Amino acid sequence: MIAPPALPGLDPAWSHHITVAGRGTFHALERPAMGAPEITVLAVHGNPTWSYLWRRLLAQAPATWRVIAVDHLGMGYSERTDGVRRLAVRIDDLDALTEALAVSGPVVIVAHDWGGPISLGWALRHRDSLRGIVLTNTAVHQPPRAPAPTLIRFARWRPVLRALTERTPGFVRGATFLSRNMPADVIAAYRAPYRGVAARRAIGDFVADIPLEPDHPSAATLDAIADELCSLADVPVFLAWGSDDPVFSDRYLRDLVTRMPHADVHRYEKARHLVTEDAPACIPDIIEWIGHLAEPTRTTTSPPAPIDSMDARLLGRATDTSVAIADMRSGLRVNWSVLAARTSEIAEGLSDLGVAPGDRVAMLVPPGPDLVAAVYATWRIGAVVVVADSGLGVRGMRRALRSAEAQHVIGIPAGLGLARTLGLPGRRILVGRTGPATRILAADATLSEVARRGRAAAVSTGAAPAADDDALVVFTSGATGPAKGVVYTHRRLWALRDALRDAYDIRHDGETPDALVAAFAPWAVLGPALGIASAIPDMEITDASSLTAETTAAAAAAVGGTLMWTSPTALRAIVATADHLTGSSRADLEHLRLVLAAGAPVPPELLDAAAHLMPRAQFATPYGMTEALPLTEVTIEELREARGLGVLVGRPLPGVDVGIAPLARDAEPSADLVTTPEVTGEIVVRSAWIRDRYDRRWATQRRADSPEGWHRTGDVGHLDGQGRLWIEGRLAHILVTPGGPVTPVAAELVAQRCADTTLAALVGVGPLGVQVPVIVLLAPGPSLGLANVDLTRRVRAAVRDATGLEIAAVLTMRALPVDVRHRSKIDRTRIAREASKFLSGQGDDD
Amino acid sequence: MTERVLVTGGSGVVGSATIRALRATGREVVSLQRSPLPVPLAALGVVEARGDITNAAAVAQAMQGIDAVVHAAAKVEITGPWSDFAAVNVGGTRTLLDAAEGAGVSRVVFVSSPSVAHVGESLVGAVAKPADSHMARGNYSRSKAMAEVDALGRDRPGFAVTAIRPHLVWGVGDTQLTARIVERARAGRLVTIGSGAALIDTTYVDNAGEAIVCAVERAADDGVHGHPLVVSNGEPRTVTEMLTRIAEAAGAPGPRLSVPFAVARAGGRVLEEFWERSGRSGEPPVTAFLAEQLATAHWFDQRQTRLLLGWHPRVSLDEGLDRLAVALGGSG
Repeated sequence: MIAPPALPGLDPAWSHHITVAGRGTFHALERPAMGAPEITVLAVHGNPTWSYLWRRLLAQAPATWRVIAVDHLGMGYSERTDGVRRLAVRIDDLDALTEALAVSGPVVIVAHDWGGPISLGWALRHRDSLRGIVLTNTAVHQPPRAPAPTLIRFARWRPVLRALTERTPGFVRGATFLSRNMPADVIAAYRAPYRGVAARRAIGDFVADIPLEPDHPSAATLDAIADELCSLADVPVFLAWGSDDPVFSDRYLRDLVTRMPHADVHRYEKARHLVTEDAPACIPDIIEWIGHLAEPTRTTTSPPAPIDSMDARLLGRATDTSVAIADMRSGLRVNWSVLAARTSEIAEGLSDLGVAPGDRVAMLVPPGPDLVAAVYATWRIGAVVVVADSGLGVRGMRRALRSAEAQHVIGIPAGLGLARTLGLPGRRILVGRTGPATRILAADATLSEVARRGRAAAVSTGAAPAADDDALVVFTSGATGPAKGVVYTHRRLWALRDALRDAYDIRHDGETPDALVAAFAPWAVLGPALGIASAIPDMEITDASSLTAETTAAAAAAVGGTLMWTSPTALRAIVATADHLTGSSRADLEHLRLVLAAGAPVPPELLDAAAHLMPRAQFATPYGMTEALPLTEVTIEELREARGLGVLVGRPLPGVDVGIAPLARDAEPSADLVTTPEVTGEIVVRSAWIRDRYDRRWATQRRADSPEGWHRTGDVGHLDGQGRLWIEGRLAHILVTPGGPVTPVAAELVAQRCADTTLAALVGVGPLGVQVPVIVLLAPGPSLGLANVDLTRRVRAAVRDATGLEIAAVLTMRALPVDVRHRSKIDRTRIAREASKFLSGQGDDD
Repeated sequence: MTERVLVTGGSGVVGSATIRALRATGREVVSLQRSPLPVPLAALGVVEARGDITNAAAVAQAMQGIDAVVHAAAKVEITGPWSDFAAVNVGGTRTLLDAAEGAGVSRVVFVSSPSVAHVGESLVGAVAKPADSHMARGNYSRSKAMAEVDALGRDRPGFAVTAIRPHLVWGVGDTQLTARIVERARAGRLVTIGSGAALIDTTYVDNAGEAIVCAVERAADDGVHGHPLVVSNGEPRTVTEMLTRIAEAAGAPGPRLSVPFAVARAGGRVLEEFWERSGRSGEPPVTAFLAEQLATAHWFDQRQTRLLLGWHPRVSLDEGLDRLAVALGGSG
């Protein structure tokens, strides 16, 4: 038998052969445990790969585990046996091999592709020793209503089967292209055992053994495995899934989740079929997951629940004929009784259409009465609202909707058009009129038709959702990497509503009821929950800078606005257009008592200008993020006087705990939290209204939920002597210099002021631990260039005086990369990459 | 008893800084070199032992009663025939080490160069790799690499050998790098190569001297003996900034022109060839090696060096430039 040659990442000591009588000689990679194994990991590859797929698992697993990665007979460096080995035979093979290897429990199986059914077949025979199941892009069943993957059908097509898989290296090559960007030497390693027609015969057999037809010889075996999976409800399962697999797409993930609803899922964005290659975190996450099986199970204690459902206030005003929502863009004004009735009708109609409790419904509708009614109706029937806002960009929205696995869509034509390309399984509901578009967009009904159905429907919607049912999936801005889905339960939304009410003293009744100007339009959705009227100004929803002072004032006048919720960009637009205000409009703005601006830091100068325009208003600029908002409060006076190493965001709101996880010298935040003043670390928060969890991101959630029940924000900062929080940047953007970790914001603020520019980034160049600090300024000129020596010296001196940091170089950039949603979060990782290249002198002109 | 240290190459920039630093610690210094020491150095109370390091007899004579050796003498020109480099840098080092072993010297510091271990690639936060004469570019680097391998190969209990590689030494009194930059700047001929954005680490001359004294003290420590250590100020700056500021210190304009890297490297190759064939003395305005040095990043991870030597650079870059400005009459 031939042993594998020297290959990247493969320790030759792992490789050995085992002959099993009556079957053949297997090749396996094995890393024995030190002492008696705590756990045995049995890793099973698919077609046409080999045990090389699991090399990192062998290299990185704890020393107390035994890790075995096998090559199937006819595959990898195992013997090329005669005859076709069908699924049932391969399960017997694995069985015989593990017996020969004296594998005993507890065992965790880890499988990929066609290794999934084989190892699951094995697992079902060894329940006593089975401790866990890890599956990566695989399938046990061809879901109904869905064609088999085109690539598989093509490979299975009789005229090409043998030519593609055996006579030419086409299939082996093709399979390695099912990864995004493997280095050439790794691709070569995957192909190494499959040189020559004879070496590839089993690959063709494997493809031929995929039971696409019900009368296929392996169909019964596979069906039995699929059917029995539901009996493994007490076995922990981890599904580590590449999101962009052209073979095993999300629908196979859905099928597995349906069979094993208790599975932990982590979906790796942008990873393809070979997820362990494409997502560097995948193997460490698998190891972490297997390791966590030994921990005591967490008992989640939910924060106490307020009692009112989200639509309690809406229902309470069902006979009120005053304006509930004024949409200044369409001129539409809807009163409370109409809104309440329409919400109920849509709820009934959705139920009637088959939207079930727990179903996810994507809302691709701009803020307005339709969105509000659709959202509250969805909640009423226990379905989950998915909001992929246009701030993510079209590509980001598509990714977001796919990752959240929305089943149904309620959308305007553009939204349905987007949804159509995603092949969502459920209902498509058009917001707009019936017309030719209805058919083109494959809409099942318009929202009005849904409401009509609801009016006519005899059924009444069932019980209200439970407090801990999912209510909402929203997405992070995706400033660094693909946007993450964030799940809120009803209980947490109720807490959020009440937190807003209490923090800003919002009154829905009495002599002076509040009314909301939703200058950041999505806030309008919260109006009915708070029982206050809301108005959306006439503006481009996707472009906050299209807002003007005049349109804002008109919106305020429409509902008697006392509150304005906005974004820094929108606030800037209002201030910039204040000169055109007429006297009466001015009075409408002066009527506002509270202006809330969230999403990004608001410069004190902007607040001063806004205060001039809205003299009665108190300004709130709470710190928060998609996962947790609002968290802090700060006064305009404090902001004006704020001089310190970071951006002041103020004191935690009542009901919010803030802890700091101090940074070690390598910038790793500690597990324990402190509240000691002036200690820099990761900001960790807790309140009743933070996210419930990340959606289908087991590993992300595990890291974020630490200590349990808290939320790791990924921001770094410190508390001051008065208990106020200062933000110093993102954890992922920390520099690690010989002097220790350095946070970016303080130096950036100094550099910005010194160079008289609006944006600056501090990034580290060089390996972690010896990084040198480099300032990159937003300035006209080349896309990336050197600042002149004088400016360099001035910036260096200013930064040194303020922070003690010694800047190595000052660069200028014509445009700094920022997030789409707020245009304020700088992508320092990308800037660091470009600066590093520039300062290495590489790519100069050759 | 006061320690006696033999220093070779005392008239060079690193050698003289070492002598000053050694005298500052009160050690006795014997200086072995061909020509008389400059007056200010001699005035520090240095014993002068005149002679060529390729002359075994002269070296053995100077080695009498010596506790430790700092070997800084070398042929440092950018061009020239290999035989010259081999004789001085390889042969001279061998002669000196033979004599030191014979005379019962306990510690040797071989003054080397980061170029013994690196080719044309950019170095970003790099650590010292072993010298490699097959990879090193140019006669100087190649000969120094062979000598360093020889020196470190002799390290054994009782005879501790270490190599200190100061990177781009400059400062007051430097007749090599600093003087050349100043001369070109004053002639208006200072150019950068490529973008001029490559980060380079440099070493202020006094810091190099002090680091070598620390190496003399700790040559027998684990991690020091038998190993090379790169020494620098640990303050990387862009090539453009360094050239501009050294020029300004001399009251001259900084670089105004940039030569594309490919042009400079190709031009360097042609000039080297021409200098070699025509037997011209002096050195060409640019060589391929120099072009690479000026166009690629060269800076180092100094954590190990500082920890092992118990040393840190006392003269910062800014302080060094101020001193240079005072000496040259420009602005710091």
